[in-house]
Amino acid sequence: MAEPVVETQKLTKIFLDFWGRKKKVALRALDIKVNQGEIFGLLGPNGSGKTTTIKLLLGLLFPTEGRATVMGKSTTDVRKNELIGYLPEESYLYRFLNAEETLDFYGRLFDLPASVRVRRSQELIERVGLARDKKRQLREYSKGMRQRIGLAQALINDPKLVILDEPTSGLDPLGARWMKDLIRDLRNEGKTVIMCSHRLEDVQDICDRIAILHEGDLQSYGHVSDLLKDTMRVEMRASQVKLTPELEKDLREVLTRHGGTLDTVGNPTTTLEDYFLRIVEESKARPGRRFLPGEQTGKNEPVGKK
Amino acid sequence: MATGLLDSMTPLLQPVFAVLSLERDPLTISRVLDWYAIRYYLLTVGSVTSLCLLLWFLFRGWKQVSRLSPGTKLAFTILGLLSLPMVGLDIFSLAQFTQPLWPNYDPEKTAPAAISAMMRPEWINDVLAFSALASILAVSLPFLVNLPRLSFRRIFAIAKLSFKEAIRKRVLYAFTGLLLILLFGSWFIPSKSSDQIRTYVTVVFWAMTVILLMVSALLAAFGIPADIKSQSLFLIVTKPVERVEILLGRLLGYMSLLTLILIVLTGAGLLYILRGVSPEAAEESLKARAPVYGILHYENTGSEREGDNVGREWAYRGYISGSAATPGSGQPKAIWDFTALPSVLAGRPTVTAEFTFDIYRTTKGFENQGVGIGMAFTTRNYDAEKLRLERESRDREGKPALTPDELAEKFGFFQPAASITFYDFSTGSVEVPGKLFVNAQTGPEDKPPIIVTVTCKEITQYVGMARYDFYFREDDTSRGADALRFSWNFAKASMGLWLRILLVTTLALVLSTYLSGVVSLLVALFVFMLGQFQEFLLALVIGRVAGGGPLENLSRLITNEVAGKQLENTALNNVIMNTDRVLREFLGGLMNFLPEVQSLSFTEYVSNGFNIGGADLAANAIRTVAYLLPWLLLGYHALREREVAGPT
Ligand SMILES: Nc1ncnc2c1ncn2[C@@H]1O[C@H](COP(=O)(O)OP(=O)(O)OP(=O)(O)O)[C@@H](O)[C@H]1O
Ligand SMILES: [Mg+2]
Repeated sequence: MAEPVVETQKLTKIFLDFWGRKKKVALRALDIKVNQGEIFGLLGPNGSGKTTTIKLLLGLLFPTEGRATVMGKSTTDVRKNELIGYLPEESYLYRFLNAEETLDFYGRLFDLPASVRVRRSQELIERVGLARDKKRQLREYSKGMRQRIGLAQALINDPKLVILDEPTSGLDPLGARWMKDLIRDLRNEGKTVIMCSHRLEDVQDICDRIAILHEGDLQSYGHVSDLLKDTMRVEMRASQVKLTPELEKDLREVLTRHGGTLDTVGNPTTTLEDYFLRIVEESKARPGRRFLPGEQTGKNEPVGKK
Repeated sequence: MATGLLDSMTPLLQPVFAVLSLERDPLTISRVLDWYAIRYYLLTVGSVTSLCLLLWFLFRGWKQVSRLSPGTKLAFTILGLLSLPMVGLDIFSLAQFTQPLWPNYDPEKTAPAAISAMMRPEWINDVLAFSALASILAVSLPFLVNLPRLSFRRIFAIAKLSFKEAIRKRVLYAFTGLLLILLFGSWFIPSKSSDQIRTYVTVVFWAMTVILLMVSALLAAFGIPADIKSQSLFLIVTKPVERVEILLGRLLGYMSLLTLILIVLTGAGLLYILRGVSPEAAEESLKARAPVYGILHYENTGSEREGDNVGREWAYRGYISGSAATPGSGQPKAIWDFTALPSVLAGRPTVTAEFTFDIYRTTKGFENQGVGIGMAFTTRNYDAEKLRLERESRDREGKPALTPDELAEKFGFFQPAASITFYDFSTGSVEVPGKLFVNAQTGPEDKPPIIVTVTCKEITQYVGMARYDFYFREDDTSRGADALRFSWNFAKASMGLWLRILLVTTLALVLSTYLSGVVSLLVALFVFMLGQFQEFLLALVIGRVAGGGPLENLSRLITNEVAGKQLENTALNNVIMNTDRVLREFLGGLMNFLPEVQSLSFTEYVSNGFNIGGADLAANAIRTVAYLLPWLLLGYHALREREVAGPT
């Protein structure tokens, strides 16, 4: 098997206070591997050590114990950065630059020649959908726009490994969907992606493997499908039939015969995300339409259909 | 800033002499680059680098070294071993520094560390310098190994960013303050018309110095800390950027902005000074005299090295009186030997000699009345006897007396007048025949080509002179173009200011790699100030300042004892005084790490109309850069070791 892109061994980070006393164990003896070409998700509630892990991998923090290698190099080796793209948790960009200048600046830091810089920044600005705003200073950008330009700068060097800290934060559902599609595209281009999030639906949608952290401890680690597959439960969908008390009773009987129990039964509902997206699509299709009191938008249409 | 203020206010506070009263020799390149200077530099820097190596090794150990690539590891090991003599010296010096704290210490018997260092044999110093070089290389190794990776494109990108950032921060507003000073300055600065340029130059340079140094310190000190706070630095260090590129980029960015500002201010300041110059002021200062100095010694005074001390102005000037000190001894004389004369002087019809002496009157009530002095110029071929015979024979034969040119060319002798009347606070001048310099060109090798002898003609007066009070002018005084030469000189003084800006900017930047913005600012300014007041510190170290060390003073405060009285010989007082001795030794050691600031100020040259030597400027530039290199190395390591996202 190919060498893992990222490997950590007993990676530990303890934050000390000014006097050198232990203040917080942010990460405890983490052992993970990230393979070539996969989307790896770091999951966990606030303060569980996701960002700390990423910062350790990038050499922004130094491990208290243990070690990590990124593409075979030590995390403090500057050269590893040639092949890494990083989108920080918050936008750390220079606000007095505009989108073009920003990409040009980070392009220079990769020592890219001018022609390459110009070509890539135009491509990326198109790709993240900022073509109309590329001459505006970032101070005028909304959170979502900054997230987009942040992603663009992470891709300026055509990296092999993309590290994204909360890529969907600050994005509207449309943007979040776009971001998820883009991350999948990155994988299809052969890049490895490490992302962290506490938005579970995002992670479930796109990640191949995940690690779940809590209070700095690794709680769970593996393929998403394996982790979520529940062999002791059955889910079914049926069409061309109405849910009646008789049907429910029959179902219950069949299940009891097979040694199981019927937990819930009901009509499926759509997710708010799907609903929201449909509304926005409709609005695009019929410009000028507005919500009027008394009207119930989208109620008559069949649910769950896209 | 107070330093800039002080050094340029001095001429305003004191009676203004129309002569350069610098108490230092112009720096020459050979003095900066000679082996002793270089060795001293290596030993000073090496003492720190070797100490760092030792500490690093004690705390981090061999584990880190073993991770290096084989070539680097070998180089590091060899250099580390070669540094051992320096490490030894460090430990030895530390032991010596703390000597006064040891039991049985006797201040009478033990030489201070500095003295015993001076008594080391030459060859040991050479070996130690070599070892020091090795330790410097060992510490620079991570940087040297990465040197081929440095990219100008990256440095330039960061420079451009810092430049833009500084402009967006609207620092340029600070310079409107300067405008105000210029606009209203002349209301507050009364001046004699002959002092007009002097005053303007002083004020303009003072304002430029204060504002530019403040702005550069502010810019440089807050750049990196702000980047860390806003976490913009995270994105930069996760690109393939070497930490030293961040440092150099910032330095380049700030320095280009500050240089631009300096150029504009210099132009504006010059225009301000040059519009409407009074003729008297032009005569005094609108010049760029290129002086040729001789070596001063005295005859028939207390000693050959010094004139008589009349208790004025420290011992800067030596005084000669109009009468012999004791009956029978000769007339006191001040004599300048000119050993090196530029050959252009021989080609001119006349060469200008200028002088400014100080008059010390023993009789009162005659201020502003001139004093007569005698002045004679002789070359190495001058023979008093031969001249006397020639004069006698001409007298006998009724031939016309020798013309000054003939005297100068044939006999190597020139005397402007039997007595020259000389006034306080003004520059006197004498036109010397160029032929004298032709005569001086060849002759006995063991004598100085030209000697100038000055005597005082009035019995009750003293005339004081220092080496730089008399000089020939190498620049051609008949050629005009004074304003142009003055402007160029003004620009050269700006270059001196540029060096000070470089100093402050680099210091603040380097400190800000580890310290917070405010602390970096304060420390950088503090180091700069200490550099400015080195002389005072030196006096403190040598113990010339009355009252004893800090602990002794503290104890006097507590026990309410009078300063100046010897402390009683109690055990406690001995501990106090010995601790002060240690502090003093450390202070002395610390002096080596301060920048030379005063020699970078050329305001006095310009304001008095003296040419700033190109070599002086170049030598100072070399010295400043050499001073800053170890600081940059420190900044490089600080930024490398720093956990960028760590707690601040
Ligand atoms: N510089 C620091 N100094 C002290 N403690 C820190 C520092 N950075 C992080 N921590 C602590 O480490 C722990 C983990 O933080 P981390 O930022 O990794 O969490 P996270 O999983 O990214 O959370 P979130 O979902 O909120 O982004 C937290 O308890 C935090 O307080
Ligand atoms: Mg986080």
